Amino acid sequence: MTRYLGRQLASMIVLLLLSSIVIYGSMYLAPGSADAVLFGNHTVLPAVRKAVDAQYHLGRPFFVQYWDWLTAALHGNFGLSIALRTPVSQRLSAAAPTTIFLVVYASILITVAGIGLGVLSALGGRKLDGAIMALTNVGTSVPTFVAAIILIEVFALDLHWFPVLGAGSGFFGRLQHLTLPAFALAAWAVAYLTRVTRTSMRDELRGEHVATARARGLSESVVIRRHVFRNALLPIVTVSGLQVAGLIAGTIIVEQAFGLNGLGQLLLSAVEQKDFATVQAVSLVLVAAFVIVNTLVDIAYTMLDPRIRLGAREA
Amino acid sequence: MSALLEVDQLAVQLPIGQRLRPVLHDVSFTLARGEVLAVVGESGSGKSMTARAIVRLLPPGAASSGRVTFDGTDVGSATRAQLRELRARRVGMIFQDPRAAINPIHRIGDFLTEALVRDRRMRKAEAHERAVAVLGEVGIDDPGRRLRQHPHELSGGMLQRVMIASVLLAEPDLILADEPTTALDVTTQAEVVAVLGDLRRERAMAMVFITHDLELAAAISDRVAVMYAGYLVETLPAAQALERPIHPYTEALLRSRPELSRRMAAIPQIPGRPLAAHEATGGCPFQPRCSYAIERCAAERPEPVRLGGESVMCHRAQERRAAGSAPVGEGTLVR
Repeated sequence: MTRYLGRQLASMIVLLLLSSIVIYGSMYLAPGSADAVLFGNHTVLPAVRKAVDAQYHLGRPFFVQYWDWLTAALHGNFGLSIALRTPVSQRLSAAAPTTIFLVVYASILITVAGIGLGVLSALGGRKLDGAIMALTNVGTSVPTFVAAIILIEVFALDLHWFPVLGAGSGFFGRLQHLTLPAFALAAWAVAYLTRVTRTSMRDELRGEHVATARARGLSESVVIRRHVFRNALLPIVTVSGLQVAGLIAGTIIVEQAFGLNGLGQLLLSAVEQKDFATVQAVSLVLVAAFVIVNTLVDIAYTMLDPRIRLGAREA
Repeated sequence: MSALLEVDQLAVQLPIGQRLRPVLHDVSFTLARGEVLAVVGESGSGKSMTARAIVRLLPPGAASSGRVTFDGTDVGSATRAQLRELRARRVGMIFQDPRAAINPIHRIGDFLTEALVRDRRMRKAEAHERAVAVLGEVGIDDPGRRLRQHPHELSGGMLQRVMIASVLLAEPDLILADEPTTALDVTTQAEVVAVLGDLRRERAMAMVFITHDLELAAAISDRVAVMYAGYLVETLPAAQALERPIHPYTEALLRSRPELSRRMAAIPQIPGRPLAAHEATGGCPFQPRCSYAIERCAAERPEPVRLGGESVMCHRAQERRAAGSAPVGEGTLVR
């Protein structure tokens, strides 16, 4: 197990390094050089140019630049924002709490509602199943930005239950402000996970080992928990992990729709301002979160299925 | 003393497509305490369905009629709790493929002790001790280590022993063994059958042993029941099954065995194809393939008749019994 964890960790680090190279290198692929952005049409003294290049690690071989940037980033120093002249890390830490709250909120919605509805659908009667399936049909066919607009129209503008804009402050303020965005963000994934859970549960229900458990006179609740749900968890965990990781990108749309100044919003405005230092930093954080969530899912997967562990143990 | 198990006019219909189709027709037999009944027949003849119907373990949507009485209790009208009690303590079931029948996710130890710990509220240590003891009995080395392993780490034969052990742990009065050796290779089959036979005899448990191997059936059982197309066509003492069967189908089955003692040009077959239970028409289900069929066989379904210790579903049963039926084992083709 330790060996397996070590391997997972090593591959995660390699993946993170590779993606950081791509992120850093993409600056060179974008139109307009850093110098052009920084100085615009101004002519500058060579001394100034030199000082600026030093600050942004420009004018040296790519991998030297990259290495300087990476080591500084690992210490939490992403340099100065080109647009605002303030440390990028400040902008990050101002925007991050909203996004983290939103992603965690939506993740809880996805897992609780998705798995819960899926289980109900698989075990419930024909009518309940039909109703839930109809709901998921709507859920999977409505794009996130449409869901956001509908939610604002109904629950914010008509019913006045929730505010239209802003991220709120304090736990309860945030909870109130971020409820609609979290539902908009989660809707599609809830519907999808419901379907996956239902299918997976139904497959297991037909399994021979479930017949064995029933033939042994185990109570129905033990049969469902230990022999149906427990076995059905494998695809459920994979899909929940992918959905949660996908939320990190989905926040860009939702933050825009609800006027939340989170990481997604920060990324968009940084792109518009050609603030490459900020773009790199936000991209790095988003990609890192994605990779880490995926690694956690992989590890959870092997803990759930002993058959997967075999290869690692014998290696 | 009354019989342990009485099955009377049991019929089962399964939903196939839009309608219910019969898979079992009016099956009746009894089983005494400690007795072994082997049920023989081709795939789809209703063997497994009979076993499952005994503990009401039918697929969703199935309909059944007739009566199953276990130790004086009507299984058909049992409440949920009574049914659970029956399955947990009175009747144990062994399935064909242990790799599918044992949950791959839990450890062998969890599988064996699950029912004891969760249902009988036994302490974990005690359940563990019992599991170790019974694994030793079914011939598994190093039971302590096996308990910590997962099903994929054991061979098929080992797993079927684990399955047998799990049934023995429940100490039932009746074991339903549904082709317990079909999924195993030939050498392990013999070992598993021996283990099951010995341990059952020691504990004086009754058993319904389902197989498609007539010789194995005769060797392991007291009585043999032969099924065809959802009908129980003949029930006879095991000693007679290989020598003097009355029903033409049993006789034809016997003739279709390859002989080990001499080279055969071709293994004799029963002409035609096996009928599905729902295809049976008004007459005898075996009539289209039967070399002894007379006009009456196509028109009228025979009722089972009792002849001494036997029950045979054939219009010509009396006549065939009087004639001593045809000698079997000459390797002549049934035509």
